[in-house]
Amino acid sequence: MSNTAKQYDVIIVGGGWAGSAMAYRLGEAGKKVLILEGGIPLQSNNREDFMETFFLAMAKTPEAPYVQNYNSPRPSVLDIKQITHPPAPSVDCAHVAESIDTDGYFIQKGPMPFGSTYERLAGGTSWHWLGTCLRLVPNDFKMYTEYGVGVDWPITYDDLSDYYDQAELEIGVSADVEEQTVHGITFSEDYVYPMKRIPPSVLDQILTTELKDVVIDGNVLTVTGTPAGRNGESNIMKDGTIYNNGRRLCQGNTNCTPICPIQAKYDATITLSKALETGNVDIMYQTVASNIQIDATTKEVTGIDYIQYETRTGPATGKGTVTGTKYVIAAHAIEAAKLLLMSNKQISTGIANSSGQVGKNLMDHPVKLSWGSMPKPVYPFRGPLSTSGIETTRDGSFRSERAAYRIEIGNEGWNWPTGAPYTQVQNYVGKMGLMGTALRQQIITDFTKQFRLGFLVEQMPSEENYIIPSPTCSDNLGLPRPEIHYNLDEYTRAGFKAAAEATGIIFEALDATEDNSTPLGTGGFFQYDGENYYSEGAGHVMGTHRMGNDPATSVTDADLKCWDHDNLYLVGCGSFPTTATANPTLTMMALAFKSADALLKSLA
Amino acid sequence: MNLEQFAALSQVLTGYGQEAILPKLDTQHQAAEYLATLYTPGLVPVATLQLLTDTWNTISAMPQPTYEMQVKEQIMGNTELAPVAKNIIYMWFLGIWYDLTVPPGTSPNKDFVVSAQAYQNSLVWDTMGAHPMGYSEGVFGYWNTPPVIPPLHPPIQ
Amino acid sequence: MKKVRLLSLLLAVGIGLTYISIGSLGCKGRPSSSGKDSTNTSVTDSGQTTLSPNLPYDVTIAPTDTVLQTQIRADFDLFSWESFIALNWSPDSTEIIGANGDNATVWETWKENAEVFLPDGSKPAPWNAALQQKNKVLVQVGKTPTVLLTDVTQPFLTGPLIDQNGEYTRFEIVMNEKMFDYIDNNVLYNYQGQQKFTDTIAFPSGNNEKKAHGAIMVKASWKIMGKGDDTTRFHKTRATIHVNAIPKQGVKDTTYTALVGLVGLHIGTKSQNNPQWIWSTFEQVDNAPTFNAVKDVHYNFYKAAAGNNNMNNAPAHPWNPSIPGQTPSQIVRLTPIFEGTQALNDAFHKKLIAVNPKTVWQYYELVGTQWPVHAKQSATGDPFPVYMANSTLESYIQGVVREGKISYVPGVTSSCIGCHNGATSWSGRTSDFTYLLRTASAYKQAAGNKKK
Repeated sequence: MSNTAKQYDVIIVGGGWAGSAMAYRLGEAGKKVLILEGGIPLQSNNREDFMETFFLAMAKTPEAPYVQNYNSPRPSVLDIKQITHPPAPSVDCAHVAESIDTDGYFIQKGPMPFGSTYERLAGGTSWHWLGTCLRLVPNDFKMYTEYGVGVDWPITYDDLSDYYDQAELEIGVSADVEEQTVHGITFSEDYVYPMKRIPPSVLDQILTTELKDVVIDGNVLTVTGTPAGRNGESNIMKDGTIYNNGRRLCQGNTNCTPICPIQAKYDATITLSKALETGNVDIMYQTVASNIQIDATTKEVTGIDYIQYETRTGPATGKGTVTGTKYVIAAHAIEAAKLLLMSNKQISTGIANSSGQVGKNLMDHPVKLSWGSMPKPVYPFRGPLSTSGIETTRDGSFRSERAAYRIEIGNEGWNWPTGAPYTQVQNYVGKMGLMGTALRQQIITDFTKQFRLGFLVEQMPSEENYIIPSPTCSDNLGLPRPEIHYNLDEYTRAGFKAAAEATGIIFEALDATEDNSTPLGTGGFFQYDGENYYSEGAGHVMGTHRMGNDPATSVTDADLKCWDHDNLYLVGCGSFPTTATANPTLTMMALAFKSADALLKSLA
Repeated sequence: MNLEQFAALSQVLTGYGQEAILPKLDTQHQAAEYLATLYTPGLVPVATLQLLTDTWNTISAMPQPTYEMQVKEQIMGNTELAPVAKNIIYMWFLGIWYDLTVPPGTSPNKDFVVSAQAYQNSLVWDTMGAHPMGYSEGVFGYWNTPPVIPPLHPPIQ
Repeated sequence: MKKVRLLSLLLAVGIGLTYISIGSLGCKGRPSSSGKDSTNTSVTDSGQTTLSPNLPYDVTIAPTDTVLQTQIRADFDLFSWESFIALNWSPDSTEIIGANGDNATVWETWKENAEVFLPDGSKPAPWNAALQQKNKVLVQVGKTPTVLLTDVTQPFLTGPLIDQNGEYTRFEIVMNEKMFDYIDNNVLYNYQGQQKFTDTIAFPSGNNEKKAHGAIMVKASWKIMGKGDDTTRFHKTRATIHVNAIPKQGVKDTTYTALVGLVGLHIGTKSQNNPQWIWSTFEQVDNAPTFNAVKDVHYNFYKAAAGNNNMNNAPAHPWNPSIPGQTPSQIVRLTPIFEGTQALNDAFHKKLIAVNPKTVWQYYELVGTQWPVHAKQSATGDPFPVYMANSTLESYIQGVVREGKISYVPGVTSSCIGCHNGATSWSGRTSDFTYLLRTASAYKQAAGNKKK
């Protein structure tokens, strides 16, 4: 690879979602762009290969299709365990592969483990995203002003509205405008989503009817179709053309996470391909950014150092430096913070870190799972993993006291909380000794009634939740692994308590029986107000390089440009000052498009 | 145990009929794959396989309506044969072979998914009117209406 | 006519003995003349098998054929070859297929997709075989019609196929009159019509008892004849090659004529016994080697010296047919052609050669036939063979090779029925195994009408 000699307008670190979106916009505008992608290349047989790995995996986790790459490692949900104090890894991390396999990629320092994961390959974590494309509600942007908690965003809903339109078009979102006008969300005139709302599941329909008169904290539990980045029935767009992205309609494989077998669900490889298709975007695969160089006088970034490798377990095979006029870090919230902090040869605190906020404010949407059995069959394991949710609970005066949540309705029975159907079938056969018709009858009776809800609880920024490059543990290229310090504060824990109370109300309204067994994932165990709770990761990693209005308390401005370095942009969910309750991807892409506009303007 | 014997025993263990287990026109060869797995050297002692075969031969010589009861007693009720029979059920319903050399749930273990096709054909999903996660033959929007649950054969007395 | 009869006679005598083995494969559902075709042009060999212009309607499996993998498969493969011969017969029926080496074909008088689904969504011109495809224009550089290179927002989803001369392979899709009529009569040629149509979309089915043809669609791939190509081994035609401009990528609007050779042919036949359609796929014999069986010959889409590092992987972006000197695709057939199918290929090749040793049709081989074994059992009807790929049309989804072993991946590796089962119209309802309805545009009222 000899791309290094070429002069680029923009260097982008990371060929995932935000990086692809930036590259596409910039390439479209005629700018010469180079992407450094740490993971394996985009190839025609990726999906076949990943699906084969998924089919053969015993644990069908979000990571199951994607083989661990010790030169660009990623965390796995199987590694999320309760943390002993002091944390004691079972394997010396000098043995890289063994240590990552046994204790996980993260160096979890606790007190609670960070529960979310991501992927490091072309297309990034979009390979296993669910597809949820909710907009934030206006109050999500001003939590401090409205509720006296957290911080405000440096932008308002209105600042982002047009970019939401753009992101929804690029992703190809299926949703109904009228349904989405929750808590002050507005749309541009005559706006249509690219596609109609995905049809609701049998479970959705029952919940819609049964919960329509239930009120919690002043909010009616209205069930609405979840805007989805998966293909539904096309709308005719404002310009009179039929929306068409050329891909198939969803066939309900119930496998959005970990992988859609037919790419009916959008993933960032689509935008990445379009970026490369502009002819202005180059990409270097298996090329891991290792250091950001700056000019000591101007503080401008002057280059990105990288390390290359040939195989997942092999040694480094090359290194070099790429240069451009502008630089974008789009490496995922945790990896981006890690890269900024480990680039500390010229500035001891790391790059972009005069505020001291880089790596801080690590947040997620800790999930409370509630599951049980309905009085009548609801037929799980059919359709996309989730087709509807309850969004009305996402805002209210209670947010000055406790975290809000949204409720995701799952179409996959007890798969997430209990590992259904495997654990149950083992119980029926192994313990109960069932066989033949009796076994089938038991499966029908139990499974068809099972359902689960997921409460995505918001989290507030905290300096105590942070990631730093591990001073002791490295990956196979010798780059530090992320060391994570994490906990849930009182505000979020109170949100869990509220979610548990809501569970009681909802299950009663549904005449459903809650299953109170311990979930499969117990890593996120905590106690609050005398009750036990289990928090699961949502995969929504936010906050590590937050934007703001004040250089003293934020890392970037509202265009995601670093306060400290005039030619460096940080895109991705790390920009979020607060988490709100909506799955963050759509907002992340809207922000990336906003940032691309600003970057283009600065190049003009 | 030959393929026909294995298929016949599998029918009793799974509650599925001939057309599901060993169809006349067989595109999948699923029974053959499971039989081959069962006989993979090292998974089940040869003597146990022989006992299973002999026991099934004895049962299959009896009147068909007694098969289920006899399998329950003589195979599922036999400490040597039960784990193997249960693994046959797991293969059919989950596509998985569970390591018989360690207690269930032990880690590490040598549990494995028999094949991608075995997963695709695993019957637990069909039983509840669903499809394996990641393999759907449904068409857009099928989830909007309830499925037809495949009818059960009347339990054999 | 005289000449033809003489040939028939010669053939009957000359090859009668050689092809008894084909007769034993059985020949079910032999149609009588489809009406417009002349039976005089049939070439028979002792009544066993024929080269016939008569397109078969359906496959009825003989009660004696009980073995799926060989006997029943042979019934379907024979159907495929009979379809191929009939579709590639000269449209005016005056000569036997290949009698003059190459010939114009029946399917090339059928309606091209772009002639049915017009950009303004208006009603297509009536069926008129004499007019259709008078001037063959090849625009499609991807397998699916959405891949038109019209603008940057329409990505190639699967990637182009580039031959050894760096030229893009071109694709076209045509349909027969039965299929066209169904679309035309039910106004399925535009978005609004599809929205209004609330019945289940069900194209007419071929039926042996009723001696009726069903809907048939043909997907063809063509390569531009160039250096290294032996033009005597291809069915050829002159075509207008059109590349739409993409100003942002520096792609200029280009039109030129070129001699193109047929490299791949899919035939999809809807039938009574096979409601998931019968999928027959043919290739020009020089396309690509079989995995681990590379021969020392010139391939259209493979070069031994290029190695296997980029095997069956789409070319690097940008995908732009106007860029000169692009790296050719390196295509390998992962699934060898079944031996019984190959035997049938050999038999038909001999029969074709007997007509004329220089016939181009001897250079086409049946790769396979997929059909639903248990049509009523499920949506896909338990297709067999489970996986099937044409190396020019499903080049990049043939399976994965791990440590030298090929794995086929359920739901992902190419299966005609498996994929087409997901096809829908613009209404989101199933469209009977064709994606073509989604190439329809929204109907826009003419400006004059709008004012009223």
